[in-house]
Amino acid sequence: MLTKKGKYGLKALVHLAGLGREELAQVSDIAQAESIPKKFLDAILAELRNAGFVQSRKGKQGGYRLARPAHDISVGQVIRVLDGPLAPIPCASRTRYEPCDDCVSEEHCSVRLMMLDVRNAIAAVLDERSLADMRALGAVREVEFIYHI
Amino acid sequence: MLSTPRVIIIGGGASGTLLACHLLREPLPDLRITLIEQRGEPGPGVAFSAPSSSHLLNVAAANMGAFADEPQHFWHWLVRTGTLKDTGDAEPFFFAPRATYGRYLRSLIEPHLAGPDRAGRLSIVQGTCIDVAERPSGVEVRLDDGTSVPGHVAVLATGHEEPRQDGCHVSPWVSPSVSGIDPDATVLILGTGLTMVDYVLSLLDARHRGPIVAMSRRGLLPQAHRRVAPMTIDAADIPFGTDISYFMHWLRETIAWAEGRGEDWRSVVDGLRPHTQRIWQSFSQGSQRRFIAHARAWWDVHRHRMPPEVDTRLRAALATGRVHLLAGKVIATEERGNGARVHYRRRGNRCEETLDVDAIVSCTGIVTNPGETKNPLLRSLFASGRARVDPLAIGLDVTTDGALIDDDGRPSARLFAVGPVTRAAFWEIVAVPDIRTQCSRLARRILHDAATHTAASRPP
Repeated sequence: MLTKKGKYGLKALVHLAGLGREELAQVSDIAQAESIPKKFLDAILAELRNAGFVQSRKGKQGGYRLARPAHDISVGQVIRVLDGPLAPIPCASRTRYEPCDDCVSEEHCSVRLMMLDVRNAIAAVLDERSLADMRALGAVREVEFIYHI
Repeated sequence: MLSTPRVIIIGGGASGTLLACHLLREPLPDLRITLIEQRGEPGPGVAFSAPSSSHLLNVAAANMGAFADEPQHFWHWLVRTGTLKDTGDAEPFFFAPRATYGRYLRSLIEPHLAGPDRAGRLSIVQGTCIDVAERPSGVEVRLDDGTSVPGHVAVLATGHEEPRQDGCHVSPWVSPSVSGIDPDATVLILGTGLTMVDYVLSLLDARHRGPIVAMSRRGLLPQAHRRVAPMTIDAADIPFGTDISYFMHWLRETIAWAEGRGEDWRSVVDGLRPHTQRIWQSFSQGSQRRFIAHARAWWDVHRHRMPPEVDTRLRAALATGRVHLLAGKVIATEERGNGARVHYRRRGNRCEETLDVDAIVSCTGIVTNPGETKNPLLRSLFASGRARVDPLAIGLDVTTDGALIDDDGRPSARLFAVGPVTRAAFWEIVAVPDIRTQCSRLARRILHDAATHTAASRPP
């Protein structure tokens, strides 16, 4: 499941995807615009920088921007970094999973095996869509909203 | 307009042969394939003509099948032809001699050969290809003897660049006796990967007595295979698109997690194999560059492993001092008589040392700058702007379909490439399991294009 961290991270990245080529955004501005607690956002952006998705510059003119074009970063890539292996329940991944307390056999648990299939479907969707697609998605909804009122 | 779909494959080594095999599997009576090979003997190529029976495949027989959907095809061939009786081994965790694999490839195309008494769909042309002309209706491949071969598409399967062979520089793919190496000569092998290992075995088999020195920047040796099954890893587990340092950190942590559960690191490395091309393609260019500079040596020794029996021989040769391993870097080489004086620096050491050698064998790996190629066809394609070197300068710039990209960034509809020359787009494209998958995809694409093209050009 998408954690708060994953959700905030995606919102921040989609925000950055809307900037001009050389433009930087300050953490406080992103936090305010997307209503994300600033301290949490600091930590999230640091992780995204580690993974190579954003770049930062220090100082007064400093801030964050995407390290690669928005259409080159898939939504799935971002969520894997923030939330770990895509998994609807903690045991439903192949690497570094946590068995449930009531687990008898992870190799034969039908719930886990079902959820492993689910995660592959989730990955297929998330890896096909980029941050640019996500931003466009939000933009379309906005236009529809304006049209309807 | 040609009446039948005709594919010209330039290069009859393993890559070209595997592509021909995949094309020939299709029940299309009209299909015609021309394989152009310098040596006139298609199949083994550089990789699988090793005459020494000490040179083994580095992939277990159970996974060396020529076809993407039949990985055990080679294993079944070994059993069916009784080849295994010679070796006394009879299980899929078996590393066959390279030359046996060359015979296997040859046996796959033999039934399809065209000739005076055969109506096969595959013709072999011996010659060196010097140029390919692209026309709206097809291609024309020109050979050095002045003849040319017309076709619908041409596929470059030119494989590995021949290493330097002049003065005291000898090729790792030619046996020491043929290269004229004296049994008492001092031999310097540059590179400490699998090619070095094979060359050391050749020297030992030839009862070489002189000193053998193997040098590479880090002095890392390939790891040995062990009988472990690859771990199942889903795409959903892998942090695609991350920076190389992040990715390598993830890999180390995943290996630590697996080892904590009593599993072998090889399971993790092999479990990534189905995903390596996608991982490579998800990296930014900067990450790809940093991978080659910093992580590649480490990755290669864990990924490209040697059979256990080869490992045992190499370790023994190192332990007894038959072979010296040196972590260092060559600074300069000056020719001296029939040999050379090599100036080098040991790893972590500032002072320069020298070594007088009689022969130098370059086994530094297959990544050479294609811009400096001696291959006349590649040179002419580069010169005319119909092909270009990729930004990392490790291969041809191709699409993930294998189509050549020209100087203006346009993919060709008629010129393709398979095998090691496409490493910029795929990275891991040197071993048969990877190349067969690529060939299967390209064969489907070519046949699909030919079908639509023929349908379109047929009179109503």
